[in-house]
Amino acid sequence: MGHGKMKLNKIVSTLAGTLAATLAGLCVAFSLSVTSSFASGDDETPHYPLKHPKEASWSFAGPLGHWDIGQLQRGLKVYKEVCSGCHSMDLVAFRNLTALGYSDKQVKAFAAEYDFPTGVDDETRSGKITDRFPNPFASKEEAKESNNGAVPPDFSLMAKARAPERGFPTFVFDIFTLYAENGPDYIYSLLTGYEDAPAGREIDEGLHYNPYFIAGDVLAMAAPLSDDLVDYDDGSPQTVDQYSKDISAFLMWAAEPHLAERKSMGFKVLIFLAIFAALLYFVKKQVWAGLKTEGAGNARSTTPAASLVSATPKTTSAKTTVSKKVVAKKVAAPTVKAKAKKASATKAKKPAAKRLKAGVDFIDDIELVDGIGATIAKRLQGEGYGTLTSIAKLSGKKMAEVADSVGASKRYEREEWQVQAREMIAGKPPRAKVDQDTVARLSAKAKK
Amino acid sequence: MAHEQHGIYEPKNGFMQWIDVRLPLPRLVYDSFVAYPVPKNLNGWYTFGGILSIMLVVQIITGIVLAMHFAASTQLAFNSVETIMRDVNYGWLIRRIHANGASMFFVAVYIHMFRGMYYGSYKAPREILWILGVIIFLLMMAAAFMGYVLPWGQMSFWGATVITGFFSAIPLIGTGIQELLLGGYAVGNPTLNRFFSLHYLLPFMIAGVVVLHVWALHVTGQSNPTGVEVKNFRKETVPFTPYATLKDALAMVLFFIVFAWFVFYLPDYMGHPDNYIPADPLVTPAHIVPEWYFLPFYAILRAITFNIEIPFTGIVLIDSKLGGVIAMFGSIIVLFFLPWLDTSKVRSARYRPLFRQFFWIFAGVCVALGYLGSRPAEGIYTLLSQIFTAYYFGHFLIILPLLGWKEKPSAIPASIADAVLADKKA
Repeated sequence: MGHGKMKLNKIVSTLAGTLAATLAGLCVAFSLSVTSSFASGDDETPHYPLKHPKEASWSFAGPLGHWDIGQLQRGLKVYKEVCSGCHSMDLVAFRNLTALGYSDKQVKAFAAEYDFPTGVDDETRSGKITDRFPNPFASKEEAKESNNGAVPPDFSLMAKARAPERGFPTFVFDIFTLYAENGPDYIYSLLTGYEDAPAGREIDEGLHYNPYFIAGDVLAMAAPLSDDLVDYDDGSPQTVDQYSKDISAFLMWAAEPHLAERKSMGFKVLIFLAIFAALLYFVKKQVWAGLKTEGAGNARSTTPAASLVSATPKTTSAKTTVSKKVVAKKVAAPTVKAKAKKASATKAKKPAAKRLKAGVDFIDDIELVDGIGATIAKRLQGEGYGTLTSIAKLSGKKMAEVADSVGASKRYEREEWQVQAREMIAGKPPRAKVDQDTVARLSAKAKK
Repeated sequence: MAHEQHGIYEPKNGFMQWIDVRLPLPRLVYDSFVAYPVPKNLNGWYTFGGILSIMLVVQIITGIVLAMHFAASTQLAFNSVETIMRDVNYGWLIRRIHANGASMFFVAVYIHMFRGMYYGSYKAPREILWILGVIIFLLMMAAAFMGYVLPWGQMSFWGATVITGFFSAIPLIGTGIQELLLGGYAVGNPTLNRFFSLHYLLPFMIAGVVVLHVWALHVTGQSNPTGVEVKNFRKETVPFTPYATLKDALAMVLFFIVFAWFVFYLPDYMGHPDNYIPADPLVTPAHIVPEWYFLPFYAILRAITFNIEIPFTGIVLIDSKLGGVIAMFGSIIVLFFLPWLDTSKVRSARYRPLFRQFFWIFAGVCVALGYLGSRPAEGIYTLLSQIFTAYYFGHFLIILPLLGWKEKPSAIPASIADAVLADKKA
């Protein structure tokens, strides 16, 4: 029987292995088929962009990324002189330009170059710093009309809204290389990527071939840049390549003005977290190491009584049991008393220990004695007699003294405290139903 | 709620005593998070419960701040989010934390669930604990989906259109449910408003179920990598504080490092670029894809491309759309029955050599389904989705019940202490 099962185990194991291999094979097969369909280009729906964006180098890339202010200023110039003829930038206000290194005065002057309708007749006013870049067209319809049916998209979020997929497994590596520049890379590639259509590809009038375009192989916008189109006064090359880079960087800033702040804060946060984690690691290690040297025990158990009791939670909050304070008192008690207690505890231990080994039925708590409630129990604990074992072996005289001191001089005999305690130590259940339930519940738990 | 626990709460002063006899909240906290016994042998995978709690808190706090600046109107929503990103002090940070926090929340919850599956944490007496977890997962999915709609980008709008469209597949009442969800016949301003309202409500419902989840956990006690119950509380458990508290804190900080990595350096990595384009009902995106954490379920939805008919009659019982919706919801519903589908008496995969292999295959299948969910539904992708979907259900409905019956587990340690000792020797 057992042998047969083993054999079966082996068979199923082999099956599982085969299954895993098959599934893995399927994965490889389909990734190959995908690659081949890309290569042959005969897929029903071609995947755009035809070419992955070129990866340019950006000052704002990486964990210490920051803006190249000169580049942003050049980019603004390209936007103003070339792009803004068709593309709006609704979310960027003139006031934001102070981040590009301009003074308030310069920004004010810049804003004033634009005219805005006042809304009264055809009157206009000059721009204020709180204005946003104006839309070159009065309406969507007008934009369509003057652009061959295509509305030039708004530029505010362009650098984040155009991000061609990186594909597997590149997107996994990106997590570690922190590559997050596919937006600006895309814009840069598109602007520098116009080329003649391949032979056989007929292109409608008003459309232009560009293998980097995200939504097809042609787009309505003609190549907008040409060498020496915009004058740079900082000596940067006046080439399509440089213009494209500068406008892409500018658009990244427009899409995420807090990017540099984000990265510099991130760097600090990560350093902080790394140090914090290291400190926590050592604290945790130290604390857990204390556990090992102690053996398997619990750091908190302090007295033999407590270790027998093994912590008895109470059903009602009003009831309290052995407190640390009491424990402390016990420890500090005169040696004679301690010795006596110890002796009695050892004697009583035998049956108790036996029961405990089974993990059941005996809980060394004075409160289990029928007649002793929370108040008396507390007083008894205060006297150092919080456990059954501690009163079980007291002499009659001593018991009378103890009972007297807790204000139960008449009751202790009538209620047979000591008898009860001895009974329980010997393995009998508590007399009171409530206490029986408590013990039963706890021991049931322990048995599990 | 009587337990064995490490130590008894003792009010430190008169004031605390006064509190204790009136509303023993400090006692409850002490019992639950200080004296509560934790198995000694929990490994790092068990820290994700704590991580999830802190993530819920992070999401609620950032979410409340975002709600102060968000305008739930189709005309204003997109730009109000951009105002948060640009003009609200540290708004960019708060929103990045909230958006990436949702993703990290799912990272943590998936690890938490797979850990439960690996160690058989759902088995008796922890069935209700597991079921409450699945309910939290469902609520999380609803909250995350509605949250993704709020920025009112292209993916928000079209995602909402696709997902609410599922409900119309339900016979008879489907269209009614869909219209109730949308507040109209298509995704529009009423949809955005009710999603915002529900998105604000759900986290508090989650918090409520989390309380039940933790309660159930504290009744049964934590499971542990051996799957053997605590036998000797003194030897095999440690008090929650400081031991588990410190371990959880360390795990949280390590998790925050990963979290911060995405928030500060790759904030758009888990999002879709199309959501930076304002919603436009007239322009459908080329590929509508949900957030990454829904992709496996999306793949299952799209795998059902065929009608189920009565043979030879041509009568359609379940058309492909309804079939897809049933499969998708079924893939989560099946989790509710996991405690009974897994018939093995042995909890931990450590002592189940066959289950262990099937577990990893299953995990691989889930990842593969996630990838397929992100691909267009065509050609080889559809076929693979169908194969993996079949396997997904096969794992729960065929493999687990049979394994419990046929598998011969390896030797189980008599107790946690024994297992720990054996580990030390090895």
